[in-house]
Amino acid sequence: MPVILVSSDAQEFKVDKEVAERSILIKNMLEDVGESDSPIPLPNVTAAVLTKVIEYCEHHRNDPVQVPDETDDPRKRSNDIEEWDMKFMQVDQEMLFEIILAANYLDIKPLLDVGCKTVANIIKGKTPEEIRKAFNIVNDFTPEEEAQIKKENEWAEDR
Amino acid sequence: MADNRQEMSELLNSNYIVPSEQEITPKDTTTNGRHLQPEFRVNTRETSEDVYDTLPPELLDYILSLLDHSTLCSCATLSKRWSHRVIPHLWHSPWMMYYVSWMKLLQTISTTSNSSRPGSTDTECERRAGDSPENSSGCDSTPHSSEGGSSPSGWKGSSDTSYDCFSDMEDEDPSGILRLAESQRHDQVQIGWGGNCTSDRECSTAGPFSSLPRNLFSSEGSLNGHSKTTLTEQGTRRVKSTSHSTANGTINNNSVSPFFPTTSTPPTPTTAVVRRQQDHQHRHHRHQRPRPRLDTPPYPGPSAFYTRPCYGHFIRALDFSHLYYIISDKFLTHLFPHTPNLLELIINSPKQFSDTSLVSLAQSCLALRRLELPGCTKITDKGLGFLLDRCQALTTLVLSNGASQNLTDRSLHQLACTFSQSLRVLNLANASSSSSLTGQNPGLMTIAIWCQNLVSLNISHCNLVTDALLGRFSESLQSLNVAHCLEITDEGLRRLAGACPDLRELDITALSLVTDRGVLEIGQGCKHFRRLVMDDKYGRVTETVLRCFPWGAEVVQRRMMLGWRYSQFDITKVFSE
Repeated sequence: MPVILVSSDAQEFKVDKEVAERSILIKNMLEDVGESDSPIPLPNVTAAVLTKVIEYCEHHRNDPVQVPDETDDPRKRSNDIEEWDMKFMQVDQEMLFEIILAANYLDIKPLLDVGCKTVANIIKGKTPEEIRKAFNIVNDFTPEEEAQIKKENEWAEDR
Repeated sequence: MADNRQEMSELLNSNYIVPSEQEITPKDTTTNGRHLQPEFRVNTRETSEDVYDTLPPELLDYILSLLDHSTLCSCATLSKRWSHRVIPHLWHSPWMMYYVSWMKLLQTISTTSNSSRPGSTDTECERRAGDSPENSSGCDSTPHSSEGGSSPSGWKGSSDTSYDCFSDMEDEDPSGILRLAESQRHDQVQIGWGGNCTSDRECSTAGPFSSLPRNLFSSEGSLNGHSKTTLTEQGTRRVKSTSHSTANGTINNNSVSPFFPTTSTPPTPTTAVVRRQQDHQHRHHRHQRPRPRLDTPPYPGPSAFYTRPCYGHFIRALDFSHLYYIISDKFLTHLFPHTPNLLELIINSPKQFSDTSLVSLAQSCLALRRLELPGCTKITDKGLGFLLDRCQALTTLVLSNGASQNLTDRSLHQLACTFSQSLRVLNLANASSSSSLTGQNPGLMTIAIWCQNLVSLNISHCNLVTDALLGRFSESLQSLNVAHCLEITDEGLRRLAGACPDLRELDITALSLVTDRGVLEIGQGCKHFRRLVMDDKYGRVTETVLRCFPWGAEVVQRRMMLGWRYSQFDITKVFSE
């Protein structure tokens, strides 16, 4: 049975229940409501973003549900992204953050993971100046302060 | 109605899509997007927004947790807000491979952590933060320490001298416990007449974890007078009593914000005598100086300056397993007071880690969850007992490779009683033959009976483990290593299978009395079993055991290489179905 999702700009999307239930938020909603064909409003997600999110869920509709492992340290996990996901994430930066926010709101853990890993990969290997440029960050340190932080944390640099 | 809605959505879409089409044009942002992006993003909405504002903090934290140290290091200097977010991640588990880096690290910790400085208050910390880096490394900018190092509890100037203090220290004496207790007492008294103290609040900023280094750094060294004192029963008892009274007060301190040090630190609970002395001095001071009003700080608000964080507060995990050569009690007693929020500690040092370090650890790091001390053979019941008394959050304790050789059943009893619900992993492997642990089953028996949530237990080479013990483990046990516990028979494995239906891993290396029948019992009782380790020389278990696990378990055969005690082995065959 298809589920109707309504984006913030009132566009309707018809998706399979199985696909929609990749989102824990929608899954819980459906469980609460029970059998009903009333559309589900998603006031925090625009149509453009929702299209992307649905594309992702369609592709990953048959993935096994991840078992959350509490002891898992994110630092030790690999930052590898599947090829399809990597292509999927080749969008401009604003869209990337919109997808991450939507994944967070809709509670789609794998999509959130992929999004955050993509951002992490963008940051990786860049100089501070490059990161500032990429993320519109205004440097409000005085040169002395910056030098001091650098000095205090220089142990981490030679890694 | 439906038409209306469609129109509406079209209208909305057209409004939205126009800019979004523009932004999608540079598809290949990852390759050359770095230079293109700003250009193309000019017309989009939220164009000048910092990512910091776009993402909620928890997502930002998640992204930062995926980064390595060198990237985090670049992120730390992006802007003030970013710096505040990034530095806790950077210092979460400092890299400790290189000796040089580690020296720097310690320097940084010991000069910026304000909890270590006598008379250094929040106020002064803030003030110092605004100073230029040249004179901000010490207390020179503060009015009280203008007398230099001559102040009675004088912190000595710059970062270099502070580190030199480490080498000036006398060698550790075996009566560490008493000494630490004594130094703590004297410390409390010293604050009072230190002259650096301007208010009750300042006196009370001396948290329990700040007490130790101050004394060690002090030029007068009340400590030297006590360093030769021998350990008496009275001494240990005194430590115990303070430990109980301080426990509550310090736990609150664990959540201290390292950036904006709390202004309402609870007074250090101490023994009654010391408290009375402190009260007296407080009253004395109240007459001398007016108490500064907290609501009107004499310094600009916290956002005006980059506030120096107390880096040590961010440290959650320390792994010294490759740095056995720099570990010493001296070093550790300086380190631990700076790392009050430490959760995990791994030290692999046979010679240099003794009860003194344990006591220091217990005094400072009350939130400790995981403690691994493989090969630290100098640990005794006294030090461990003190630690177990205080670090109530402990869930993992590793005392392998002889670390348990000076321990007796007393420690195990205490462990079983205190952590009956919380202990999850216990490793007592390779206790040497002189250990009283191996000779006495009752200690292990209490562990088996009391620890309801024990998941993993390693008691290899504990010679006198019997079949009776195996039947007493709780249902939660998933991994058991009984290699070289030579008295175990098939009957033991049968009992084990009955007691622990959830068992997944079992090591039965060198159990000469165990045959295929015992393994078959495991296969029948434990339906989640997936890994069996055995050897190809001593045991009588054959490869037919694979049939015991129709769902497909891994069976590993070890081959002993260098002697049998420190299990130098390699895996010769792995069977699995």
